[in-house]
Amino acid sequence: MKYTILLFGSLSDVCQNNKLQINNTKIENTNDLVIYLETKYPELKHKNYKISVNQKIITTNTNLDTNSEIALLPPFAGG
Amino acid sequence: MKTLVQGPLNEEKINVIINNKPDLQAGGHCIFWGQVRNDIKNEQKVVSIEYSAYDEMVEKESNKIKQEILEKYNDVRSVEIYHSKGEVKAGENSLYVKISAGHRIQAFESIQECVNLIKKRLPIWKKENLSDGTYIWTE
Repeated sequence: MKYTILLFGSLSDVCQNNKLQINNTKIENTNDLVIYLETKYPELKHKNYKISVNQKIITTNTNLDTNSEIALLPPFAGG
Repeated sequence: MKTLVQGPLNEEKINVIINNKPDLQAGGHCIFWGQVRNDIKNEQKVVSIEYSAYDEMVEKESNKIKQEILEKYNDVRSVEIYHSKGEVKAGENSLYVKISAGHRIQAFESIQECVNLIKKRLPIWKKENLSDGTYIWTE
């Protein structure tokens, strides 16, 4: 499936982009996605981040589809 | 009104965007300004902060925070939140929160909670630009 992943803060430096397009039939859920991304970008393993799907932060493995809006969110630092 | 505003938040800009309709039942207004500090990092001065944000999520979450404050504090009459996006220099303001209440006590209490919720829940990131041209992400 084809996914678009938004990257924010320092993660855009790690992946050298603020948006990734992935076309991979083996990725069906957020756990698959994390394994894929951390293999491709090993520095991500050392980063603290959360995942949001459709603008909601998820805490458990979540199924994805091509319409899912996926984002990797490092710790917030507003103010 | 949207929470995210491009660039620094000075009084002139705020006066244009805030709700200026007088509320004759409000007995107190608490205002919090967040300002960029010229901290020393890696032996260099912070000259500016570049704010980036997950725009749509900021707007949703900001509205939720406003609603939560209004529900929790029955004397609070309005909550306004504005946050900079883009570059803000040291000494300039990046956050403006205004809470109007019938009386002072809830205005004081709720603005502290509101600012804490903003820092905790709004998906905003800052890149501190240092005087030697390097930068640091705040995490």
